Amino acid sequence: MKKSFLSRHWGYLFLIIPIVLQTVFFLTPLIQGFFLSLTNYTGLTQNYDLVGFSNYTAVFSDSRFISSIRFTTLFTIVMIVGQITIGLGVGLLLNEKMPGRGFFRTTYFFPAVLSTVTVGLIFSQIFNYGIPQIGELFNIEFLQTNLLASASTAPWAVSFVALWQGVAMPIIIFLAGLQSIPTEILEAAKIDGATEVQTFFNIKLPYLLPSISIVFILALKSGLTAFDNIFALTGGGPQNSTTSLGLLVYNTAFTFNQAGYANAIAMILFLIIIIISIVQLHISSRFEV
Amino acid sequence: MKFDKKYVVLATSAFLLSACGNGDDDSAGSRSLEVFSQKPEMQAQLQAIVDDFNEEYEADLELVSVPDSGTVLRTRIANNDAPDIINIFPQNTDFQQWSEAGEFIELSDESFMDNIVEGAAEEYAVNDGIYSLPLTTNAWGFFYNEDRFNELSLDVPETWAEFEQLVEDINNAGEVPFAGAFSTADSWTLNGFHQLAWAQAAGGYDGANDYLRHSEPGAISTKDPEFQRVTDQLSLLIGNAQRNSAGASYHDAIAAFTNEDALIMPNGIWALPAINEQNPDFTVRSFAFPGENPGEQLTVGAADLAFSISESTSNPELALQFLEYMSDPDVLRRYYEVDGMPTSLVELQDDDSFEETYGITQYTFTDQQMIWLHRDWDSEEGFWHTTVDFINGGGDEEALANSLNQFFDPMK
Repeated sequence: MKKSFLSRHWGYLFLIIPIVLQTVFFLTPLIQGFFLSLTNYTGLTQNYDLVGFSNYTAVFSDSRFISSIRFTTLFTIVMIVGQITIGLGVGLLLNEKMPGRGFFRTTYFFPAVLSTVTVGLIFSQIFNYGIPQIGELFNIEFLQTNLLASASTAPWAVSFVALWQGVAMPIIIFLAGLQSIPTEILEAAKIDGATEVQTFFNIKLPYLLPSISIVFILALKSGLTAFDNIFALTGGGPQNSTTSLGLLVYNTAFTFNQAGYANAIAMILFLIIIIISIVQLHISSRFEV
Repeated sequence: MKFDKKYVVLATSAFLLSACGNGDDDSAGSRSLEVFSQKPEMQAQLQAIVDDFNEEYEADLELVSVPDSGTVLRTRIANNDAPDIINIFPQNTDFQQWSEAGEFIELSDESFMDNIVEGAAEEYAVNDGIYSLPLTTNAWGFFYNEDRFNELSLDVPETWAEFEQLVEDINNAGEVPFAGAFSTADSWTLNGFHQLAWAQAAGGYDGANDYLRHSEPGAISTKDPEFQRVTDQLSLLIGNAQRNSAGASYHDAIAAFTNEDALIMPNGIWALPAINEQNPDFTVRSFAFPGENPGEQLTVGAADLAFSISESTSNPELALQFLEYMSDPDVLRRYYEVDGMPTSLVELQDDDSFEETYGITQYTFTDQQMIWLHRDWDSEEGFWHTTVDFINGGGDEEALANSLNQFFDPMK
């Protein structure tokens, strides 16, 4: 007997809810944002005019944007390289049988449950009051000042804090990945006389490529959209040296009252993320097991 | 039957989702209004006033005070969710644009406007319309530790040269001159210093804005004498503040001052309640920004406790009644006795001013008080940051010029 339309397709009806939510909270703001990026909207009133693509042409000659791209790129690279290498290294260690393994796993995951703003506020106090005292105690000159107050050291200090917190989740991801590697393959390699290094590069690493891919994307996303902890640590200063693209969008819209221009920056950021994500997925899919 | 169960599940889901809707009933003439405050340090006093108003007028006004209130207000008004009664600074660009867009009720014909001194409201008129009831004015200057000054035989400076000498004398006495909040987050505390420096160097409000705001893009240069004069004055703060001043917050600076870690605190008179909360063991006094010559001291400020009423309020009569209540001298005196900022109420003009802030407030409502320069700007926060960047960067003049050009060029 032929099933009714509803009987055959009723499952699709449950997609209505997520589609509606996606449309309301993602697609609609995206389209609105694109429209506003073509205007001189200040964000304060509805009095604005269409200015075409002049916001986009202005972005590429804006020194704040160039500086922000520079910092965001540096920050993102640090996050990606740091999260993958440190996350993998610590994951390998935590995968070994050792006393207190449970305690160490909990400790390394702890930063992930803290609010990024709280971490930023705490570290801003540490950098201003704690580290200079350590610097004076051990007579280390460059630690005797607030690292967040200098344009040359602030980007590294901010990256350190973000990495301190950001590496927690990758550790868990890599740990899970390592535990999913079939033990018989590892045993076979051991029987065949493979060294630890050979085992890592020829067996563990290929199996971990999906995990590395996930960590890469998460780190890329957190780097390109960094906002909370930078806002709490430095507010983007000094001299805009730690203004990420996300923070630049916020500052441009809410402190400089240039919401239309801010939307143009946000659109460019969106395109950058899409392009990088597509390239990364394409490359990593070739090497997965 | 399977088919019926699917219908039941779908219908139940739809019902539950619709039940999550907003059930607020926004009836006209509601006695429940929101009073949005941007004065967190005076929340207790304002709450007491609101409570008394509610009792007297059988109303249900709710005082709302949130962090980052300026951004919250902007977001709410952009989403057509303006609070009913808003404490808003009428010299700011957001107030001006909102007034032009018809967001606020016009107040010029209201009888309570006669309670304030003539011209006080007109100062903030937008297209000849009055949209703000300015009740108090803030001012910026320097708090100092009078007891330590007397012990060290230090005099309050009347000229900039005397100020530079004072700082040197304080250093020579082994003390720290300034309690500063040089973090980016609290760079606003030095806004007055930087703006007054420009006003003095460039010839007042108009001269400063002609140079900064109304000049050609990229015009701010280290080669200009005005620029050099400003950097000379800003440099007085470099290396002369308490340890860790580079990352110090507004509250850290107050703590440093009240703990006598430093003798002078550059800040606005709004800081007085916070200073008094710390119960300092010394006599707090103040002085204004010294001029080139004696008698040329300057302060900068504008309306601080000022109220506007949203055009979209559900009960404009009640909102106007609240403003009338706030402009009652007996009511505002309760606020003033803690806040200490000069008021624009006619009946309070002869009230004794706070001795602590008299050194600054003596110049309010005179031609030695300048309105904040950012009245002519599209925003102000970026300007604050340039101040602390200059101080923390050891006085990098090129960086300051670049930052100022970056800040002002989009407005030009």
